[in-house]
Amino acid sequence: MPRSFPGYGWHREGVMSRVDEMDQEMMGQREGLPEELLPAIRCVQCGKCSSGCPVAFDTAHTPRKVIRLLQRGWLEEAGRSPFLGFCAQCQACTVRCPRGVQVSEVLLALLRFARAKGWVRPDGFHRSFEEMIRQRGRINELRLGLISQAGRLPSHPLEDLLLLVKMLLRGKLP
Amino acid sequence: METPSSKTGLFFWDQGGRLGKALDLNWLLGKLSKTKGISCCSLLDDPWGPGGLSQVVEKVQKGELGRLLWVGRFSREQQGILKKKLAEEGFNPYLQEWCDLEEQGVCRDGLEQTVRNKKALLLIQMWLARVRLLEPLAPVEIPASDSLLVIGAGAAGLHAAVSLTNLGKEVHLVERQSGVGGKVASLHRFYPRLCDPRCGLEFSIQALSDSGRARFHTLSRVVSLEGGPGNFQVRLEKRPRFVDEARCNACGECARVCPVEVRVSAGSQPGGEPPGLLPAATRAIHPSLPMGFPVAYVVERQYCPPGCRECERACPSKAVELDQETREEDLLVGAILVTTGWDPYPLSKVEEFGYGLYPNVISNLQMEGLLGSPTETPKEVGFIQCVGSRDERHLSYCSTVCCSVSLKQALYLKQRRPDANCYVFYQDIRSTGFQEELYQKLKEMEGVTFIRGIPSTVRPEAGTGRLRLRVEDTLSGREVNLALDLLVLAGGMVPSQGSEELAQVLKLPRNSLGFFESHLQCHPEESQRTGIYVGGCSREPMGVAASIESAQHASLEALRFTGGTVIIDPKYPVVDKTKCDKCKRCMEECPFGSFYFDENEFPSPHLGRCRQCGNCVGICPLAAISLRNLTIKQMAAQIQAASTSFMDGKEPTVFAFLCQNDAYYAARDAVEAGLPVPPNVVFLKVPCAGYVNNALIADALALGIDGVLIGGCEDGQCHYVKGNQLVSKRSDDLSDKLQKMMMERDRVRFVNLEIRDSEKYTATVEQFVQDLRAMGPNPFKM
Repeated sequence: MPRSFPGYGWHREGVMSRVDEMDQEMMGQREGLPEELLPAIRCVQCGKCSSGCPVAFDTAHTPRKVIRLLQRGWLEEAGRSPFLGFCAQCQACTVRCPRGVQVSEVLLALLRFARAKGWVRPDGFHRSFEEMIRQRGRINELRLGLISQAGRLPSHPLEDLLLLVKMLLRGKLP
Repeated sequence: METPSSKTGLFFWDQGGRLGKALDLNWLLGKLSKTKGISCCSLLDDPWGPGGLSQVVEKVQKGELGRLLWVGRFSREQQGILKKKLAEEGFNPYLQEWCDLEEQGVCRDGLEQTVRNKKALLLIQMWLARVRLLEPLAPVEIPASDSLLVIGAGAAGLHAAVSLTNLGKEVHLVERQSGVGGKVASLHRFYPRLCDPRCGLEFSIQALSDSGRARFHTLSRVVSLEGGPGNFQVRLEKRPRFVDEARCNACGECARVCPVEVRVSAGSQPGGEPPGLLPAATRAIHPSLPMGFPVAYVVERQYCPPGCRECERACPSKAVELDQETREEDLLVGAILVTTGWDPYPLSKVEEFGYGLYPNVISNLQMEGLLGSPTETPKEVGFIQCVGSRDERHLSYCSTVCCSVSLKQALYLKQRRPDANCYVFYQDIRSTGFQEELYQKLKEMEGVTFIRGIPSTVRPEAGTGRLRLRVEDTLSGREVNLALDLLVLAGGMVPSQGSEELAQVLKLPRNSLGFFESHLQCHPEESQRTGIYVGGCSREPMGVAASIESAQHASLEALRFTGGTVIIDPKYPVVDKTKCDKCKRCMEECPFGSFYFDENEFPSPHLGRCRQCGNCVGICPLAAISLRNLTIKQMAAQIQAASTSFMDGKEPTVFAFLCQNDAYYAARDAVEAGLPVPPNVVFLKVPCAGYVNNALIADALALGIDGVLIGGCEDGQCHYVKGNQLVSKRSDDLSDKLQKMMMERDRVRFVNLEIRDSEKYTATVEQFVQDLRAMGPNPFKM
């Protein structure tokens, strides 16, 4: 069964309860799709992308479902999909797609779009990572580790201490 | 034929007063009777009643009239009646014309009386100008052979040949392989009745042998084609069989002594797996393949050990002739049927499923072989649909049969092994028509699972050799993991291997997918070369039943060019050799490839191949080509007569050339429906928009016509392939020239009109007239 991700806001997996609401207005809003997401409308939902995806099925969505949400014009639900955080950009979906939908490119574009809209917020680690890149162009691993872990107690203090000693001995720390 | 006298009879039929109500007929008759060359000008009261035509017939009998113009609305049937009636009196039917004033809008409400009268007068004068130049014509007869050539002796070709021999025609069947039967012969069962296909094939082979009118040319191919419909001269190259067909009775003694074993490739996939039910290997001398007909054996000479003549020695009827050589044979046939069929798409190109890499991944054609052979039936079997089909990296189209094929195979698998589990991975199940029953039957069957989702890849299980695959069941969104014993890939169809070469020899256009081109809706079996018909899968992927039907339809069409003579309507083009400079544009642009070089190396149309569209007339830079019943001179005279303005001096006049298949009907119906078509337009029917030569447009503009409109079909709908595109391209060229002449390029317009585009026609003309008003009069206007 797919895991649910409470931290990622809302999604209603398989709910068909709103019998009194008509959905016409939510259909076919292709005009609203940003250009880089347009290839999604070519998809025939064959599922080849999900079948070959190394990270699908561990999340509530698969690449096929995200594309389907885009086809229906449900941009926000697609943008908030937990799958976007899992996609490894391995391109397996893009290579196998019989319709030439550049699936991983679309997913990446969607992630960027969702970030710009504020639907997806990076956590502390990602924020610090980006900030460092922006400021210096490279990562200081020690600082990144410390910042992202700041305010948290180490979960395995002894092992971590041993690791620190090992790393010092091998000259991995400055 | 001698030129008839120029004395013209002009007869009005006022349609029970309809014309008289709108026009001042007395004024018209008075004006016209004074025109030069008119010997008789009168009003017919009731041409269809008894004696209604007596005055016309009388005058014709006395020889007082050389040509006729009928004014009024005469339907096509009524025109036919008139033609027939006068032909009985010896009047050439091509010496008369019909001028319909009503369709040009002169009877429309809300027009000034003077405009009406002037426009009617002008129209009659235009048609008179044409009538003066009419020539007596007669249909041409060309000799036609009574035999036909069928290329490809598969199911489609054989069945078509049976129909043709039943009708008493002589049929030559050309087959690349050593035996007939084609792909169907290698199938285990075929739907909808799920019987053995060999039964139907044997039946037609017997019918053909019994008829005595069929000749089989196996191991042969067509190497050249000359002539045209009615008398195609075909040259065949026949590879040696090394066995005398007359002597061999297939006793098999030779195969018992043959020392060489040969893998069967069945001609279609060299070096590949044997398709379908054919034997995996034979001796170098073996019965014909795919079916044992012709009965004689065949020797694969390239596999013979040097010096070995064992079979020759063993043959009791002295039939083996190891020194035979390739020879050629010439045939004369009236028409050609192309039923070259299909080949399976090479599945090794679809890399993700490991075809050719893993032994238990097979094609659906190989599955036919497995189902027909006594090998053990695997238990867990997967079928992947649309492998390489509907896929922009491979084949963009649907091969239409693969869904039903997999359903059929799953059914037989379950019958052979009831505890087997079948998994069908699909995008859409396209079991059209009665095959739906098969689909529903299998859906309800235990152990058959339909999973809507296509696996991405397949991996062999270490040790066991089974295949592991993972797929998303897209309908539930769940992941499915399976281990299979056998995976069947439902691959699609591509045109058969030899079709490219054949297309070159027959000069037969193919579409971008490699299938032979035809007008798929109206004339599905008609190729773009007259007299050559395409049937079965060489034209479009289809099932066995559909391809037999299509080949038989093709043979029905082909009968036109057999039976002694073909009658050609005298509407074919003629080249004016005093003008022609042999630039060969007509040869290039003729959509049906009907031009050839005559003895003086002038391009000359083959009357049988020509479909009388007039695209050559339009393309000729020197306006040297004319259709016999619609010469460029007649058109020019008609345009010249139109130059006198019929509208108020300031109003622009528009001349329209309309394609008689589509645009003409749109214009006629616009007037009939009472749409506000501006009176400024006068139109002429042309056989195809491609007929309109730039010289005619230039003529019209030089004579002071303010604008020229050309109405052709929508792109891709032209019955003559691309006449509309040719003329719109040419009118673009002309527009450039106009601009150089300091004339607005917008004075020549092209519009795509479908048959029911009356409103579009009206709007286009309205807009055009408005724009022309803004542009001001044509500088050449006097």
